[in-house]
Amino acid sequence: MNPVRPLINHRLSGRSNGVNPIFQLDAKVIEQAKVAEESFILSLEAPSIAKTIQPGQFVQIRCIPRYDPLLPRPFSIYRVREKRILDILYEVVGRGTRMLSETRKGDVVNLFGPLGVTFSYPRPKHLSILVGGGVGLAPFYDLAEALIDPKRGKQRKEDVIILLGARNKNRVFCEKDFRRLGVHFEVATDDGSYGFKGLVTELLAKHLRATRDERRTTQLYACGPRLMLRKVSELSKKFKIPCELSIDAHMPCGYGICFGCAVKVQTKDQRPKTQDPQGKGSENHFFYKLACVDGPVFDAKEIVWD
Amino acid sequence: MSWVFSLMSNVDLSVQVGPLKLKNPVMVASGTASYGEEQSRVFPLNRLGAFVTKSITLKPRQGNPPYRVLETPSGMLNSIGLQNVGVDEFLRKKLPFLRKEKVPVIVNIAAKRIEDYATLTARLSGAKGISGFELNVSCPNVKEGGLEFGTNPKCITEIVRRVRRETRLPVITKLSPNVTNIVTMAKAAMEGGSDAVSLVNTFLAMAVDVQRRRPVLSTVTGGLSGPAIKPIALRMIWQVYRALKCPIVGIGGIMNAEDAIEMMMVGSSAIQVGTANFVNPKAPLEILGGLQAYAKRERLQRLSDIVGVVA
Ligand SMILES: Cc1cc2nc3c(=O)[nH]c(=O)nc-3n(C[C@H](O)[C@H](O)[C@H](O)COP(=O)(O)OP(=O)(O)OC[C@H]3O[C@@H](n4cnc5c(N)ncnc54)[C@H](O)[C@@H]3O)c2cc1C
Ligand SMILES: Cc1cc2nc3c(=O)[nH]c(=O)nc-3n(C[C@H](O)[C@H](O)[C@H](O)COP(=O)(O)O)c2cc1C
Ligand code: FES
Repeated sequence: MNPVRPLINHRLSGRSNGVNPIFQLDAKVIEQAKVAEESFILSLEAPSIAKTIQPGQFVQIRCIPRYDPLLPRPFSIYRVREKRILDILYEVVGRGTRMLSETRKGDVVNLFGPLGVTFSYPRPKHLSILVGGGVGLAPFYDLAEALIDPKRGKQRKEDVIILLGARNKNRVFCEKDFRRLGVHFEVATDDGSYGFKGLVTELLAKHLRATRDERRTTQLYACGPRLMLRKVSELSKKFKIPCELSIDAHMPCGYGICFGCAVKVQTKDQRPKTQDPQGKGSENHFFYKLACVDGPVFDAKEIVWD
Repeated sequence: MSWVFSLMSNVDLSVQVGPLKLKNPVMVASGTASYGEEQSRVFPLNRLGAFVTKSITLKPRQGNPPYRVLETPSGMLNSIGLQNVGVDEFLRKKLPFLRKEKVPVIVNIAAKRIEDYATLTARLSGAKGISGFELNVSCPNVKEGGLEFGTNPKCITEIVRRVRRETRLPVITKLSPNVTNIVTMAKAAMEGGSDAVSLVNTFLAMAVDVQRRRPVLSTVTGGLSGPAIKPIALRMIWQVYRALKCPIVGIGGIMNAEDAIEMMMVGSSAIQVGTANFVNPKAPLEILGGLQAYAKRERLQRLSDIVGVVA
C-alpha cells in the first residue's frame, strides 16, 4: 500500500520529531517467538515505519480485517532490525493480544504509524535509569540502543541501567538482548524467584539513593502499570530527578481524532484554562491531554494522579 | 487497487441534501475526525462530499474524565463530553485550516440552552467558508440539555426555528435515536424549518467492570457506535423516509461501501462515516471508491438514483 502524507503534529513542541510521515500498510509476519509465559516477540516486515520510528513512538495494529474485535491496538516498538523489521514485545491480556499471538509466519497484520511523541535524550554523561513494569519494558530496548548510539543519545553503555519488574521468574524476558547490548540489566520479582525480591520501585529507590550519594546527574524513564508509574513519579519528585513516563490509555484511533485517550494534566499557570464538564466555570487546575498525540511520553511532573 | 482507476470514469456521484449540493455523498461524522488537521495527512479532505466538525459549543469544554471509551462487541462506547475548543478558537484557528483544504464544511453545534444555539449560529454564519450547520440536539453525554432537547419534539422545533432565523445556510438537525418514536422527532425538526435530518447519533449504553464492581465509563453511561448499531440505524432511517420523504443523512456503523449503499437505499441522500475512521483511517476514501465502482457496475447514471429504493 501507499505511504500516506506526512503527519505533522501541530500540538507538539520542539522535543518531538513531529515531521515523521505516517504510514498504513499490511505487514508480513516474519516470526512469532515466545519469550516467557504469555509473552511474545512478533517480528513484522515494515520498512517504511522501521526507517522513521523513534524511541517512545508506537504503532496501531489490527490483526484481522473483521469487526470484532473492532479497534486496532497500540504497541510500542521493542526493537528495529536491519531498517526493515519491527519487533513487538507483547503480553497476552485479552482478545486482541490473544489473536495477535495466534498469527504465524506469512500472515499479515495491518499497521498504522509511527504515532505519538518520542522520549528525549539527556545531555551526555548522565546516568539513565529505565524502569519497565512487566511488558512495560517494551519501549526500552529501542531507547537503550538509541541512548548508547554515538550519533543519538551519546551516552556510555555503563551509564544505562534497565530495571525490569516481573511477577516471577517465568515472566522475565529479554535479559540476553540487553546484556548483549552491554547495558546494565537488573530484575525484581514479586516473589523473589529471580533477582531482587520485591517491587521494581523498591529496587529503583535503592539505585536512586546510590546515585544521590555519588552525586550523579540522572534521568529516569518508566513504562508499566499505572500504580508503578505513580510510585516512580513520586520517587523522581523526592530525589529531584527528571522523569519521562510512557502512559497507557485506551486508544481507539491513535492519531488525535476521537479524543478518547484523555490524560489528566496540571495547568502550568494554575489558572483554570477550560470550563469543567458541567460548565460551571470552576477552579480547575487541570485539563486533559491526549495520550496518543500529546504523549504517550509525558513529563512525570505534568500528570495528575487520581 | 481497482477503484483508483474507476475513480477516473465519470459516474455522477453528486447528491442533493435539501438545498445542499455535494459532489459525493461521503462525509465524516461529527466527533470522529476532530477538526480535520490529523485526517488531512491521511488523505486530502477535499475528496469528501463534506467535512463535519466536532461539536462546537460557545465556551471551550475540557470533556469528561477517563475512561471515556471502551470497545464492545462490533462497536464502542464513548463519553467524550463534547471536548472542544469553543467557537472563538474554532473561528480563529480551525476554520481557516479547513478553508484551505477546500472542502465544504458543515459546522456541528451543541448547546445547553436553546438561545445558545441561536447565538452560536449568528456568530458562525458571518464567517467565510461554512457550507451549513448540523445541530447536535442529541448528545447523550451532557446532563443539562443534550438528552432532554433531543427527546422533546417541542424543544427540537424551537431550537431549529431560532437557528433558522439566524442563517440562510442549510441546516441539518442531528437526531438522537434514544426516543420511542423517531418519526415524531424528525417531523418536529422539519416543522421548525430544518432542511434535512441526520440520524443517528449514538445509542445510550453502558458497561460494567466486573472486577472492580463499577461502571467502566467515568460518566456511567455513554454512546454506542460502530457496526453493532447499523441495523437499528437503518430501521430508523427507513421509518423516517417512509413517513416524511424528507432529506436524510444516514449515520451509524458504516464501515464499507456496501453499508453506505444500504443506508442510501432506505432513504439517505448522503452518509457520514464515524467509528470506521478509527479502525481504518482511509475508510471514507475506500467507501467513496466502492460507491463509484458499484455505480459503474450497476450502470447507474447517477448514484443518487438508489436513494429510497427500499423504502
Ligand atoms: C502507547 C501504547 C503502547 C503500548 N505498547 C505495548 C507493548 O509494546 N506491548 C504490550 O504488550 N502492550 C502494549 N500496550 C498495551 C496494549 O495496547 C494492550 O495490552 C492491548 O490493547 C490489549 O488488547 P486486548 O484486546 O488483548 O485486551 P482487551 O480485551 O482489550 O483488554 C484486556 C484488559 O486490559 C485492559 N486494557 C486494554 N487496553 C488497555 C490500555 N491501552 N490501557 C489500559 N488498560 C487496557 C482492559 O480494560 C481489560 O481489562 C501499549 C499501550 C499503549 C497505549
Ligand atoms: C468518539 C466519538 C465522538 C463523537 N462526538 C460527537 C460530537 O461531538 N457530536 C455529534 O453530533 N456526534 C458525535 N459522535 C457521534 C457520531 O457522529 C455518529 O453519529 C455515531 O458515532 C454513529 O456513527 P458510527 O457508528 O459510524 O460511528 C461521536 C461519536 C464517537 C464514536
Ligand atoms: S486515541 Fe483517539 S484521540 Fe487519542
